[in-house]
Amino acid sequence: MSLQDRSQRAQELRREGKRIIGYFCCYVPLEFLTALDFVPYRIWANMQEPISEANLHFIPTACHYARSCFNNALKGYYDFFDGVVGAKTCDTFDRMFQVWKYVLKPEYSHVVHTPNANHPSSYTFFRSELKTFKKSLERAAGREISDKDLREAIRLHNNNRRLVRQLYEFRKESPPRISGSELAHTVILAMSLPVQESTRMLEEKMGELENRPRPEPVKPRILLWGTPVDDISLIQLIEECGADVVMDDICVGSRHYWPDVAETDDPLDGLVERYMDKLVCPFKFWDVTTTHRQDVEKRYSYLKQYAKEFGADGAIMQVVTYCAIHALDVPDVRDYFHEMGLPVLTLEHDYNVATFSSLRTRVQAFIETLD
Amino acid sequence: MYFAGIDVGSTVTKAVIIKDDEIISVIIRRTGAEHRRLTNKVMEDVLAGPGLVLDQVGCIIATGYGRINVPFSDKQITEITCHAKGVNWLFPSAKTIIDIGGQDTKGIKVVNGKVQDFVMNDKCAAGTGRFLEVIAETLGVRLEDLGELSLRSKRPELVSSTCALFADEEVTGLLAKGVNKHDIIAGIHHGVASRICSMVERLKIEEDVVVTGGGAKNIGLVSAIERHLNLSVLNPPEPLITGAIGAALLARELFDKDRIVVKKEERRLEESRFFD
Amino acid sequence: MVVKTERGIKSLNTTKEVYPTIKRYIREARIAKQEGTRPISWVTASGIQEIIWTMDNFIALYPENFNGQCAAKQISLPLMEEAERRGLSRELCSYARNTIGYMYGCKDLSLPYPGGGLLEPDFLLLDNGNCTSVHNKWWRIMENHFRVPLFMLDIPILTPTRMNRDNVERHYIDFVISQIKACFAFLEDQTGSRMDMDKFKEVVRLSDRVGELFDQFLELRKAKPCPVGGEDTVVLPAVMVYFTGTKTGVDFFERLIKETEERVKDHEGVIKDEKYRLLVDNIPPFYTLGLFNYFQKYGGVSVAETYILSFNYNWRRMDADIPFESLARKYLAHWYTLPLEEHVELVCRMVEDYEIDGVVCLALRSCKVYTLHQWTLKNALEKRYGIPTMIIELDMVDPRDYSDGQVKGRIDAFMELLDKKKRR
Repeated sequence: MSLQDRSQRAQELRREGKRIIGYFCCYVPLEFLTALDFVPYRIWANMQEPISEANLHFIPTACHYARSCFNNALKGYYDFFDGVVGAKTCDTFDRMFQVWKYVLKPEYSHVVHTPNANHPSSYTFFRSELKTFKKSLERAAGREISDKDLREAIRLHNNNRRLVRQLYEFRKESPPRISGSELAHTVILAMSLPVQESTRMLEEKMGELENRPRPEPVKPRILLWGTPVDDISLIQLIEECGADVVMDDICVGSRHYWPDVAETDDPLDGLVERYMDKLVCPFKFWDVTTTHRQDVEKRYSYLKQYAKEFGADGAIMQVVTYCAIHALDVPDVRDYFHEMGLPVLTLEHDYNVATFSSLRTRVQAFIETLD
Repeated sequence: MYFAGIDVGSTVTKAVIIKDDEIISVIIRRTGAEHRRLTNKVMEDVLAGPGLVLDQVGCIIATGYGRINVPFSDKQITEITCHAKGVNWLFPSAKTIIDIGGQDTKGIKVVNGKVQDFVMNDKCAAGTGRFLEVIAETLGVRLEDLGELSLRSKRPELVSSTCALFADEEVTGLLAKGVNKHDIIAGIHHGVASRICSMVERLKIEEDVVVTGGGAKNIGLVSAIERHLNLSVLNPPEPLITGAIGAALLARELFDKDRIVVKKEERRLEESRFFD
Repeated sequence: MVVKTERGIKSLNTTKEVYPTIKRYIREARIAKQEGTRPISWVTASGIQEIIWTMDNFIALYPENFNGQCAAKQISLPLMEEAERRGLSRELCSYARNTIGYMYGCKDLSLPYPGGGLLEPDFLLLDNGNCTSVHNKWWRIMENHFRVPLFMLDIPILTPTRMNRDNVERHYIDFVISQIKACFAFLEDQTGSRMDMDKFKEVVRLSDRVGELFDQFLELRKAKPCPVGGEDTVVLPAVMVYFTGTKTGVDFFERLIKETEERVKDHEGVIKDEKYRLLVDNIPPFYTLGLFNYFQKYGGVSVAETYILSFNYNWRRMDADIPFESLARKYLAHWYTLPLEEHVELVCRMVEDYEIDGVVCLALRSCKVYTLHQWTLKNALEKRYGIPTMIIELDMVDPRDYSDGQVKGRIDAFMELLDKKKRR
């Protein structure tokens, strides 16, 4: 299925009577939505179309990704939503959500506030936030979530995440059987389906991959870091310049699928732990009581692991223009990659394919240095 | 065996042919809007000098902004890699290259002729030849005279805007106030140099530093860069062709090491069909 | 350097005292640092003054205020370029770039820094109540550079889907209270002395008094002609940031009110012939505060500014006997943490109360949180009141994208529009 049609199934389900909830950001606990039989649908931006309508509501010097999501909504692409759920993680998405709510007045909307710090009180607070979210959804659904429902939803999502991680395993091969763009394509579709259907699709993909012959030739292997990318064009550009994208640290990718929810006696315990401690995003502010070195290790050591396991030869750090939380992390992460011995290319882009030609020279030159 | 490099820049197209370790033919031509497609003419001319035909060239590498659309090239390599190669050949001691082109400016860190790291300016024209062109036009002087004129300044008048349009407006204001041109030009050079240096300094500059591209021909700009970096830079005899030289050298290298399969029958010495 | 920026010209004497007072404060800080009597902390300017003044045994310095002063002294550019050399994008907050550039390069650049420069901190305090994404990272970068302890007061936003200032969920208040307590514990650790509950209540009482006086001052500005314009009030946030919760703060506002009342009584306006009453939204460009005076050429006066509401402003009276609860409610009702709907309603009320003729929105290139929703605000105002609203793109600190001619050209056209509208 082409990415342009990614909402097809959700629209179909809605016609059959299901309720579709759009969500921003991987900090929205989808398990609650699934437990109530809502269909969670990740709200996408649009790399293929320039921002038009959203410019009437948003200054142009704001994150192109956030504005593009809103632009899609204004164009009516999200008219099939029954509600919108956000997580307060970055300021820009918060403002965008506010404008969205103000202008489009969705029938149902909710924001889960995710604390930045990890104070003891942050956990207590977040637990209450989850309970509030649960209640709010229950009101919207007209029924309650039992612990059994929630446990089942957690299992479904864990299973789904496990399959995506298995898909990533194929990228450890050299050369990988699944290209970066194909994997991104699959993941994007997976996030546009109810979790059960998403799992079935992933299982089919797995079966197909197992029998697929290895491609030729061996190319430089790239780890892609940065802001959300929900289109394959950027990855394709890197591939056209002669490299394989073998791993990512972005939220439409490994960030969303790596950590599971522990199946705890009280399901809330596992959920609090995942959404507070296990997910990674630069917005998170961990208290540091030690050295800069230890801080950096604590926040980024998973990147070292990714680089090793996936055999990366270089890292491309891409940041959509105006994303403060990523851009302010660039110097630290860049130095961290350098310490691992990985060459780094940093790209700032406008989330629009029409502007990508200026990136091509950089990407190609970078890949030439890896050869 | 002959090898060729053609560097299709945004404003100037450069072609070089080498034999053994010697440059035997060079062509430099302003690309211009209507001439962008005519890379074939540049190639024909650079071949005509030493009386060659296309098939005698072992390998042709295209580089520069328009590299994708050179129908007679055997491979495209970015100007970043080519500059590093070319400059290393001219100045083996070079570790940092500052290439000031018409549309973009690059900083390149070189180790043994290979690119270690690089930076490039973003969409914005500040710190590029285009910026100086706009200002030269407003001042009514020729672009190539800016360097000399600026050296006559005693008290450079600083212009703070980085945006080409805003700076242009500031310059108009200065002229109206009766500030003399030399001081304005010197101030502009200072500003452009500062922007270039603060970008290139992200690379941790090491000597020797070589300045290439059209900007290297502007003595006022080069000396402003030297003042900013507090060191002397090296200037190639013809700073426009380092990329084309590098391309030709890379053509030779790839060919000698059997790392390229040249299909001469697929080369077409004709106009480019597409250009961005 | 091309002179394209102008200083603001003030009407009041009280507001002229502000910078000397802050200078004195900084001088005392320098002495304290030299003598080692009191530690120094760099604090976000978003308003935890009550905590600071309750302890009253360390000196708070405010990088944001310093950035504004650097811009006013026209020395921001080399500082920001230093930060950009370190790999920070030019599109990032200019406040952050200014401080970070200063932090890395202040010695090498040796510029005429305001107050002789920011004294190095012994610890850092971060309150992300008026900006989260940038403040968190910015303070983290400083923490890593100075290797000093940091405490973060994590203030949640009042989520737009279910809250407003008067309707705050209990767990939000409890969350902030427990953090205020943790902040006191941190400060006790850093300074070695205990927090005194009676002092705390007194500080909250004084803070509330500042809020009350500030409200009175705002009331006075509704007079016609307006007695005090934006070129004067732009310094008030500095007073609130430095002195909320102190007698100095209360005394200042009492003098301010006295002087303003006299002007109201004498019908003395900012200018002789006030024609248009303007509302200015957002942080002003500190490198060219004279912009406020520029409107006066056309008989325009900035009679209300949202910027001055965004610093530690308690909009309703606090109960000093329950200081934790009162403060938590105040910190949660920040100008930024407010839901957009409430924000728009407040600006609408200002338009009505101050009888505004036109709204000027300063779209700050590098401050996203205060700027993102401006078009929505503009649309709402135009729809509801048919009031002309102009958006000017510039930045509060970075002068590179500012074009004096262009901005003034826009203002000229806008004032003509107001004129036409008034004649009709």
